[in-house]
Amino acid sequence: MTWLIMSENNDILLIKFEGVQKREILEGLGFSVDRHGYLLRNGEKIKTHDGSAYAKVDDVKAVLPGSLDIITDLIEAEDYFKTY
Amino acid sequence: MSLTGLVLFIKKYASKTFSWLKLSLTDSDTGKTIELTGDNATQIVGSKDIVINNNTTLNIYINKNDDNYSRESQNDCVGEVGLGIERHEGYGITFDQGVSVIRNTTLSKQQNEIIKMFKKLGWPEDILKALAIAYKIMILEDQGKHDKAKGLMEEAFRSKQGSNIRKMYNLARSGYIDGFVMGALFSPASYGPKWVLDTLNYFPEAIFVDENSSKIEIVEELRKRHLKAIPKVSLFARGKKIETLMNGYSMYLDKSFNSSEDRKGSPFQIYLIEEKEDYKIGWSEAKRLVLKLQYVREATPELLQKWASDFSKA
Repeated sequence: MTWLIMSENNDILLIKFEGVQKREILEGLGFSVDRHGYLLRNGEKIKTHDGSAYAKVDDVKAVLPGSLDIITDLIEAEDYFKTY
Repeated sequence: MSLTGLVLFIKKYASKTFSWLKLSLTDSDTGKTIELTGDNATQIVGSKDIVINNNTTLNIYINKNDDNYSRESQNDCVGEVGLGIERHEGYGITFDQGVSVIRNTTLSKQQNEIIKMFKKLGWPEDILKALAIAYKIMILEDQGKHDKAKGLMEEAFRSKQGSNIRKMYNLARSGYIDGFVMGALFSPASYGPKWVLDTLNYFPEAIFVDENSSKIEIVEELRKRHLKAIPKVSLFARGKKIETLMNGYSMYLDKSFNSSEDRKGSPFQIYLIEEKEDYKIGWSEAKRLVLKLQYVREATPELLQKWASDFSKA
């Protein structure tokens, strides 16, 4: 289950995917995944938004607009969407 | 994705061509779900039939067993969403229900007022945020939404702010925050930012026995408070951790009485049970022991019998 949050005049619309895995969504967004579960962009492992670690598919909580940066911390993700 | 973009997306995908894809809109306030088809999408989205706001969910169901399904089509559909994200068209994507759970759990008026009050006292933003998340976990627990509360609690405690959220949750759940409110009303200067940071670092009045706590830690925490002559200490635990609480307190008694210190019959102080309370937090059992620092001369058989009796009742 994947949730997409849309902001429209300060409203938040949730878009919920069913029947499709998180990994498939990320691949649809242009990411690929190595055999250890790390996310790759253009063949390179990518770090999380705060640069603290390489991002693993299982840990991804959110993808940020524009940058397509990855957030792996729930509270950070919520904070981001709150101020968006 | 702007609303126009959304309508275009729905118009494109809510058609027979994409029979592997089902779209619908749900209003979480009313529980009403409207299936979207190519014919009705434009009329419904933007009409008064369903108002798109914080409580609306667009459901995209992908049926991989449909004859017309292909991975390429799915990637096109997801890619279209992704393009909107990349172009910064007004939305991001989250893979965790927790974000929507946090967003859709509304604080009570009183809880909002409390947070506003602490904000005026200069409490740091991350501490206020931690309190808000703690309150939301409590709301879900009190509403009996077990899965959501548990899921949010686990994720929130695991997050970078997890330590503060856990501490705030413990303080709020056990009623201490309400006490701080009363104190701050009468003496705001005493409840400033330094005070809250100190309190989160060390709160002498209570020991919260949670997932990370062990028996020996309970003993150490009680001894620490004993050295500072804290007159009363409450121990809190819930669920499986009640056993840790009881075993920890039992170990504390054992160690205190079997201390190698030669007291020569002199009275000494020890934390003894003054009060106990069994209650429920949402779905789980919870226990509170109120311990009072009391003088005892030595562990006479009568006293030992009394303590054993108090302990078994607890």
